[in-house]
Amino acid sequence: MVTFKRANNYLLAEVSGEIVLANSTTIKNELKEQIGPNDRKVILDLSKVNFIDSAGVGVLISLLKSLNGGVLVVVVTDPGVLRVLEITRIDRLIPLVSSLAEAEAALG
Amino acid sequence: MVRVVRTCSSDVSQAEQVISQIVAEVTPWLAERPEELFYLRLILTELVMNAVQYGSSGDCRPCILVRVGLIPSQGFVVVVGDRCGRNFDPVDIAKLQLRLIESEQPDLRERGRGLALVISLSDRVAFRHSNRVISAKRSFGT
Repeated sequence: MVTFKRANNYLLAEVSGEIVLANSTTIKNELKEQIGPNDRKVILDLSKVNFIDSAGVGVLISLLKSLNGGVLVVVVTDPGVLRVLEITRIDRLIPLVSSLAEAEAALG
Repeated sequence: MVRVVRTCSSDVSQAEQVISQIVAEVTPWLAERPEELFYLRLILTELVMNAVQYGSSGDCRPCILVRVGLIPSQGFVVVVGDRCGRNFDPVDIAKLQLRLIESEQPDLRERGRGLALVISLSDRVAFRHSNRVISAKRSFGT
């Protein structure tokens, strides 16, 4: 459900499909298991996610909180997913970008 | 007008199945409006899961009634009724959710945005029959 890749200075977590109530706990747990205390920069790539509900929004909040002040950038390309994250004002908490290159630039 | 009516219990997996069936039925009619299919699915999901999680008393009778009406060129309405709900006030909860989202303080709750999403994406949301029936209407182009 989530694939992980460590790059030079960040951890890339890629989710595909959908993030809904039914799989939100599984995704949340997979993220928590893989992200260690030394992971201070994380890119969550949702470019292959085509649906998200309010439980899915909770997954992003959970990930942000688990980073304890670390930096999280989210890649979003689906217009519906982006609209949900904008309505719920997640964009005030987490930078939303449209490509991996932009995410890497945002991490610095 | 396309009309779909289903019932389900407060069992989450049964509710998910009903949501999938309804989405599959309306998908051909919204093939040219994928964004509207997304919003219909989202409103449907939030209202049904709201009834499952907060409204229903937890028994397994099919006490949640779900109705979707779609005019493919104009818009849709989603109506979810819960005839065996607990003491639950969706109006107050919706107001609270909207207030927290709009607040200057960062909102770090992991739950509690479903009704705010429904209200934001609908032209009109009505609460009837002592708030046990919620209907959300969306016109295309809004």
